Amino acid sequence: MSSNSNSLDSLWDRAALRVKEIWDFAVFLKTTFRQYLSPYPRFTFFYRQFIEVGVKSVPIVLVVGAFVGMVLAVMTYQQFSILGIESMMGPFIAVPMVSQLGPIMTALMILCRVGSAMTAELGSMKVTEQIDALHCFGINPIKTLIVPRTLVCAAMLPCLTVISDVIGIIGGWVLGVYVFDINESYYLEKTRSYFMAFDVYVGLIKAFVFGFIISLFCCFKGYTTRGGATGVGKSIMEAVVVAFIAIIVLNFFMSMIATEIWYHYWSPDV
Amino acid sequence: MRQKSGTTIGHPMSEPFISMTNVHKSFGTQQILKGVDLEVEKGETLVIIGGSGTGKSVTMKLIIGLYPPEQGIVRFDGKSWADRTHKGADLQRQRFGYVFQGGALFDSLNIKENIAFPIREHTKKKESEIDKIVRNCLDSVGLDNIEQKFPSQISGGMQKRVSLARALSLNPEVLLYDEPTTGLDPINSQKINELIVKTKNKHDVTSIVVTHDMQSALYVADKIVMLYQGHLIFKGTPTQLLSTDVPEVKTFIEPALQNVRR
Repeated sequence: MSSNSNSLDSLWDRAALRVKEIWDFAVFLKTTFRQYLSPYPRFTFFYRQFIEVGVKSVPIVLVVGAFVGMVLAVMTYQQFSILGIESMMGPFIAVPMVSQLGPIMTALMILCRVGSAMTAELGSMKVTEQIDALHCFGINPIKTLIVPRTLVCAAMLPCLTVISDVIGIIGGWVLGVYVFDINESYYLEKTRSYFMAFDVYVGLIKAFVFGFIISLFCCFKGYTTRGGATGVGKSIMEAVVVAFIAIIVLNFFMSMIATEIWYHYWSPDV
Repeated sequence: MRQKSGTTIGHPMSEPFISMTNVHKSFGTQQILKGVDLEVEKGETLVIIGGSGTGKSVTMKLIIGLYPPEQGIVRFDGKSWADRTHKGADLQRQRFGYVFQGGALFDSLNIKENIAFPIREHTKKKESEIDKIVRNCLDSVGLDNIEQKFPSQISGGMQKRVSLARALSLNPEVLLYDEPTTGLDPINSQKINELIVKTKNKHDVTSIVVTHDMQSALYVADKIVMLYQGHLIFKGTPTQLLSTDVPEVKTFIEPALQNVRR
């Protein structure tokens, strides 16, 4: 009986903690969005993030994008060669690449490389009182630390996604044309005829939203870290897991919305 | 001599520069402060002593308005922090300098950038002027030629001195020192103590020092208060502290004084 009541208490405490965390996140969002409307911090803060999030992520995005494109080529070739429609490989690599795999894989790479680093850096700053130090100097930490990170991450993710898309499509084309020996003009012609600007827009909007999600979750977890090195580790783990799930779930819903928009407003048949 | 909770201490007639009135503060279920009253006059050095976890650092953060009290009022320069807007509070905090226990230097910036950081944020000074201020601040704490080093490349004692140099960069009226000598060897501790006194005399600042290092407390203090179980149980001069008959205070200071006598 007592063990049951203890576990109920513990469950209640955990639920209360989660509710408090959601409330804290809402307050954090409100404060951050309010700061977007205030004068921005010095350019240096943005430049540093531009280098960290954007420039330094290019190599990993190139590698991942190229291999995703090539894997798509291998998979589609296996299936399409059975049906004898190998020349249709092009659009089946390009369209999923720009609307689904490009934004998702880029977002997950940025989450691992940049998001976790954001949580770690802000978490360490929190537990070593560096964030308190900013407060003590009359400097708003949301303005100097969070605003540049979130804005740059949201802006850079679509750019990195474009790089990933391009290199993925090139990877698929190289494999299709030069390894699987598909007629190049057929490959390119089919790609051109099935590839639509709408898919690119959807991919870029997704990337922008994922950029915000990654930076907001990771900054929030870092900014609210407690309890020394263990706390920093826990914050990184929670930030990455929550942002990962959010990206996957949001991608599904955004894809559904995009499909609806396509059929009702964008399709040439409308 | 023993002060009851809720009893106002300090000069009754003049408006104190910093004051806490019946301040309560807790974190979760743990109550840290249970009705603390404190007054700090302009230009004096107040030392807050007490064991670990008695709320000394919390008191400092209440004084600078980082934590809101659950009950009671914390005033700075005649106005409660609760009556100030966010912007107003940020503006007032520029009148403070805070030397953190671990230094709290920004580890992604070098020493020069650390000291220049508040100047760049709050003023439109030219690079040459900032360079001059940084050199002066480092000179004040007896450091030289470390501008390009990063915090991880200098010792703990030097980090505390750089933290003080950074705190001095905006010419503060109040300096808050959180355990300035903790973790330092006796020579470096004495250097920091001398710096606290020198800084007070040179810059005419009001200082509040939190410490459990009695040697340091007696060296720098004009006035000493002791926190015990959320209450302020002693207030007086260093001489009064040595002759107090409050048992908790005697228990706290006796081991440290024996070490000094030896």
